[in-house]
Amino acid sequence: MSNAKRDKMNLPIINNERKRFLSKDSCLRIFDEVVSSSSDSSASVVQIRTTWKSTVRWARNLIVNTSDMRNNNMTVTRSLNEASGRYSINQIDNDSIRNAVKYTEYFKQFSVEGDDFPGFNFEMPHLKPDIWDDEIYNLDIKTRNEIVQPLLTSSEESKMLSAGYIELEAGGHAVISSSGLVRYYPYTKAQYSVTVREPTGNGSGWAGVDSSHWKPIDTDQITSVAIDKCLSSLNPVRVEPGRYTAILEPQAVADLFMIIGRYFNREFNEEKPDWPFYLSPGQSKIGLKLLDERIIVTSDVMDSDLGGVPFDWSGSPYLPVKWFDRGVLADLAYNHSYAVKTLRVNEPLLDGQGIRINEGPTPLEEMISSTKRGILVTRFDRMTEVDKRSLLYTGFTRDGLWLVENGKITKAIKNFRFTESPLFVFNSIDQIGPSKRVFSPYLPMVAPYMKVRDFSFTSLTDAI
Amino acid sequence: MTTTRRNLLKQGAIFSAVPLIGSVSGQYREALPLQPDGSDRALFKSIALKAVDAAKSLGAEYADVRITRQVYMVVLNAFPSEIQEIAVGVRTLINGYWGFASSPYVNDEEVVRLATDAVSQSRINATGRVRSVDMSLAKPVQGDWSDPAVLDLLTVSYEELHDFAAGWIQKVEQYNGVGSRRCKIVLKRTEKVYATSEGTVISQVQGKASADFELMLSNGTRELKKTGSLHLPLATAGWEYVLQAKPFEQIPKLIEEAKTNIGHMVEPVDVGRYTVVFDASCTAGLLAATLGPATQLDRAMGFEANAQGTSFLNKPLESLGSQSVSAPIINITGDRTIGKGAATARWDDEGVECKSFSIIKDGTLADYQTNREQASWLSPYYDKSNRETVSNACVSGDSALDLPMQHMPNIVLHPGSEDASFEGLIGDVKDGIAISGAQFSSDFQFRHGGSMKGVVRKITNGKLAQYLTDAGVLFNTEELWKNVKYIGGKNSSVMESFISVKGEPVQSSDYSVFSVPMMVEDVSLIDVKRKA
Repeated sequence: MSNAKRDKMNLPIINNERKRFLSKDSCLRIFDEVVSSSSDSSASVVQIRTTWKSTVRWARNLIVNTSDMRNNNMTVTRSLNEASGRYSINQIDNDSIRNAVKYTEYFKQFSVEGDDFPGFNFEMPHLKPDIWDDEIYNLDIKTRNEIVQPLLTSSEESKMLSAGYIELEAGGHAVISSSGLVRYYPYTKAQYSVTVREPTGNGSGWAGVDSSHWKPIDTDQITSVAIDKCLSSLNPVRVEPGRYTAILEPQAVADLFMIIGRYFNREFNEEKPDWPFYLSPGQSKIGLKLLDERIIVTSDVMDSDLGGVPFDWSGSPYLPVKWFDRGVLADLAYNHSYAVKTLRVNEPLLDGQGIRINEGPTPLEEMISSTKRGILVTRFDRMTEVDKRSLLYTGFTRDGLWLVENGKITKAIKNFRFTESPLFVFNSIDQIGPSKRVFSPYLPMVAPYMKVRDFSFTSLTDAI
Repeated sequence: MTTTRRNLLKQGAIFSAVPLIGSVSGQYREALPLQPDGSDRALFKSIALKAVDAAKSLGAEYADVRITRQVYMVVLNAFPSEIQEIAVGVRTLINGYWGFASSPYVNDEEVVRLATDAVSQSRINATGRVRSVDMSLAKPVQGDWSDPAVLDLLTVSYEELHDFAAGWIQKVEQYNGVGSRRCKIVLKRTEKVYATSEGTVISQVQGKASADFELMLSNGTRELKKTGSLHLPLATAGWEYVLQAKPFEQIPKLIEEAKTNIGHMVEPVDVGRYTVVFDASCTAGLLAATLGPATQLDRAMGFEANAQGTSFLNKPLESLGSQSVSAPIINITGDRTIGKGAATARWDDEGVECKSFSIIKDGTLADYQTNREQASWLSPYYDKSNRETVSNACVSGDSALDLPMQHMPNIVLHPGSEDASFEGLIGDVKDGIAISGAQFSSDFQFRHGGSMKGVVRKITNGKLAQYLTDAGVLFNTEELWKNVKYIGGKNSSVMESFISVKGEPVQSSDYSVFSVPMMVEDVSLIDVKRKA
């Protein structure tokens, strides 16, 4: 193999930058290379997600593997005379970029009308959420192992088996366009979750959290919760399926609300009769009271408990939004094309940022003490759609389920399959408690404890 | 003139088809990551060996290196888009502890950095409690392999793909009463180079293809929103796979199918226990939701406990060779050698030659899906059975960015000895239920599950009768498979494809299930929308 050919595999565009992810300067140089490679006056947009990820995974009280992974995803989009073409690569060097540009120019002939061209330069405030943490970036493998070893020891001392995972991530999102848009935002995030199981499989407990900062991730406390849940869930007994008062931990509330969040698309809810917030042709249910009047749901990247890169893949900014206001559906999300063509406004309203469900005054202890007969739920798993229109889903409880009788937790019980709609659940609320950041690495969420009536547990499962 | 990547690479003037673009420099061919003539395979092998040597010199007891390069093309309706990804991953083992580092920069300097990083991780991990890894025997291999796809992605022109999709849509729109229509074609091409410190150096090229052609009749009523569809599950194949399905000729049939999906009388489901006949696609879905993933050894041993879950078959050494998990007529093998299977390869991603291995033999648990490390966990059973302790070659993954992991092989439910079809099995049922096109899900140990969607019909005196609305099944996995009374013959076999999702971080891998229809007694039929 010639040396010349080997050199082609190197990285002249970023000067062999050896940082763990691309800097803003590197992204700007990449954009310059795109423009200089172009053979016409097409508008150009470069979208880059550059990441470093480092992980520790363990099972059966031993570290199973660790990893250090880096990658860049870059999409070049070029547009001329309302025709656009795009091409995606992860190899960042001059020649690959030039070739990607040529592919985009070629793909323009297949462009479809109405394709939303990214990189529009909105004249909107640039929010600057605090989502960078040096502690995450500098948490090296040695320090991480020093964190993990005591957690393994505590599980072992409890005669339990733990399986867990720490993931650290740092990176940058960049959207740079020939319309003058230059957006680059660095971020960090971390997640910690652990499952503790009784060695013969007669009990299982789980706890986890994620954050853009390391400090809120109290690994000792999270592990302790998982061990406690495991120990208190041993030898579960069968309880008849049926409708029960359910006390939902914040993770369970978030799991259910995530279903609603999947259907925030305004355009679809105005056009598709089988969508849950469709009212009539061209009209959604915005303005109608759909949930309990105590429910307020917001998104705001400046929310210190949520955070998030302040713009999406197209460069459009995330703006603070109230999705539900005292139970009334207040807004639904739409893209730039829909904003301009249908709503005659310039700015899109994006979903996909973090979600906060407001908290209430009732502590968990009071929820339990005021319950004659009910079920305490840790979390839900494997939820699948049964009916989109009513948001009826089926799924399973997992990693800790207890019967509450006469104001006390009396016994661990076997897991249930449920068949339920979050629209029904969040309309059947008895009490709302304090909220906290839950484990939701792909969409940061803050959710409260909730006690709800008539939750439909439809059948038993022996799975633990 | 049509444009293929191969043309793009070989002919600088390819962009002459696009008037906006001038001539392409000769540098283009040199620079493009894809080199269809295979010349870069040698380059990748030398880079992989450089990483192996670096890891060994730094003290790795074992090291392996994967380099992958993928082209992923989607034609949605008539609009093509494409992604290229290249990656290298280095894995090392020291004193029972793994280290892994990966990157999109495939060059000598970077792979030495990755090797150094991976070795450092292994060393630091090994300072904790004692752990042993016994890599089961794998004979070092050298070689190159390409799948037998006829029309490799690189040989297909963008124009042909665009014109094909646009032409299909145009033809569909000529029929009265057709509302929306959808055409999605996916073509993937993955090249892998793999080298180990034990002397294995191999390369593989695999093409995959799938397609969905769907139309919907419409007059605005809900009942008319039924579809006719041609679904080609992901297969190890080239563009010929789509052409051979003749989507243009299928249009009248799809319209008829859509028409039969409307206007029929439906009855509410009468819940209870029935003899149920599942079509071959449903049986494949049931395998993918139950016995397939349940026989992954890492799940069974608790290694996926914090992720996708564990398995009800969680005592391997006690269960192997003795635990009955299904009716005796059920024989299931894992097989990554079978034609068109989405997980088909010559070697797995640990360089172990792929093979067919029995998972369920005459209804009894016979083996688990394993990698080299996991195989040694079963060595007491293999020793007792006078079998060699070797991996079942189940490591896979499209991207070297991900840590190599055990994933699903293709799963084969062996046909029955009699040549029974779905219709034939229905003919044997006096009063029962027939289900086709359903989807299945199960809990995190695959103990219990149920179905959603699908077409559910009564069987009366051996014939299909009324359609049932909102009907589905609920099952206990072991009961379901033990209650299988008959299965279809070889002529009723179909292939469906699925995605194996596991790990932290989550990674996925494609696989196929080859399956036949089956008749199962005493199955719970439920109203899926009925709450407690």
